[in-house]
Amino acid sequence: MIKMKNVSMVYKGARRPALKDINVDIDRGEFVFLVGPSGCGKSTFIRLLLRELVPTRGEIFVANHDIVNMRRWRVSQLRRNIGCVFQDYKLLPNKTSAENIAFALEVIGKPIRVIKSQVPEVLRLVGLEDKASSYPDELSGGEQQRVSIARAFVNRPAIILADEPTGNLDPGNSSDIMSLLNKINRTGTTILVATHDREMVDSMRKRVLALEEGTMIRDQQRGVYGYEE
Amino acid sequence: MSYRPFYFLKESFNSLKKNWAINMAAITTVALSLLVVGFFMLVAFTVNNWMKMTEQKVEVVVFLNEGVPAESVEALQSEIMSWGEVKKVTYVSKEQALERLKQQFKDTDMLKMIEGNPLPESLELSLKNPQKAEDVVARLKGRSEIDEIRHDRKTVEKLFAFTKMARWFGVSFAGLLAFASLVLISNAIRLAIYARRKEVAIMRLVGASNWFIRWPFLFEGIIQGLIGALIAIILLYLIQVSIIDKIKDVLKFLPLGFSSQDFYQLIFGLIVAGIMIGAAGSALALRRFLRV
Repeated sequence: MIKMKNVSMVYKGARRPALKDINVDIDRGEFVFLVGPSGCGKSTFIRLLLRELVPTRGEIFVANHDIVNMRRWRVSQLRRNIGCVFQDYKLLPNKTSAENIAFALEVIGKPIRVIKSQVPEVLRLVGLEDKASSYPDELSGGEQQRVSIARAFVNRPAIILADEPTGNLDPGNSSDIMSLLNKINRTGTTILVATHDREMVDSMRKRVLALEEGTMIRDQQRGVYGYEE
Repeated sequence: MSYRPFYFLKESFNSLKKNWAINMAAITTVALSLLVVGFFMLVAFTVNNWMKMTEQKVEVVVFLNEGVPAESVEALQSEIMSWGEVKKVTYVSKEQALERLKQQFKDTDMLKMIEGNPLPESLELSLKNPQKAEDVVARLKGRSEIDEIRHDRKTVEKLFAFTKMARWFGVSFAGLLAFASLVLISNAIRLAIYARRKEVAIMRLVGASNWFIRWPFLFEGIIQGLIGALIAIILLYLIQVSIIDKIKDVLKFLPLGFSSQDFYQLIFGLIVAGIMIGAAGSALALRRFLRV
């Protein structure tokens, strides 16, 4: 589902590469943690997959599409196939939970009929059917993150990328979020979570990719966080 | 992909309301620049019209002395006719001259002031080449049959120079204003983009197409240009009724004004120009400030 071949990324004006010679192969339906300290290249990794960045060297395939040489107008199609979750939720404050989720469908031109059936369904999936008409500032951090996961999943993408999804949450909420992602993973969705939440990685025992100073130092099935901090 | 025009329009109007002050500035400059263009166009139409009338007229008029015998007049006419420069010579009798005057002033009180027929006979000359008017006039001068010779070339030339200058002035002034409105619209759109940066970021993330993201902003610019154009048209119309028509009332004998077809064409042109300025202004902002 995700494939990187000898990928390096050097930012303009930077002395050392943000990512160096990365080789990764993630299959459909896998659940993968991407771990490492701040500045190790996790965010660069994710931005490359979204084609917000183009690598300096190497090849990247997402769902069998060569995204390095992808035409600009096709990038939006790529992104429809990738759901995104962020540490800061990125919800629109002037829209309710349901409207925030609906927005993601509206702007890719889905018909109202689809929006009306999909939004309640996905709200139910994340356990917020009773908060459909609440605004983000009326929700707890954990609830906001669940709305954002609902928004990422509502278009049934093949992949969900989560960048520090529990970064702002307490352990209780964090484990709720993780079990939600696990649930989505069981529908066949490939999930990649960038995190430095040691306990979570250690407790879930999923595949772990470890980055350090832009280099992939470990790729371990049923792995643990494994850094000394 | 189903595009929904109403979605874009709704977004555009909401955004227009939000930054109304800066949008008003942009709209006002568009209106002002199009008003200047429109005004000079009206002037140009009027002058053009007038010039067309003058061109149709004869270039040299020879007024004859009282009591010149008909044979001499005829002889003079055929002599002039034989000159290479002359295309046509028309004899205008006193009666014909009076008749024309009556036509020209038919709606005014001026005719009441005329008693009898003070108008002289005349010969009207059309030339093959208007540049040669001076030569013809020089040759006619000093003849006993002739009282006075008049030729309009100088007036036409002056008029030409004047319109040319007016056109230049109008075009450059309007161009300057158009540039200012472009910048102001682009600035207004930049603010609109800034105000909606969160929405835009999410739209990009969930895979809204580039044009889906751009359209509301482009619409916003176009709407600004269009409103500016409409304001300019309304003002021009008011100018036309309140000033030009009044002048026409006073100076009935001058062929002032323009056809309504000209005016409709002007309206159409201004609307197109407004839309173009608006679209160009927002395109400028989109290029610089909207990463899609």
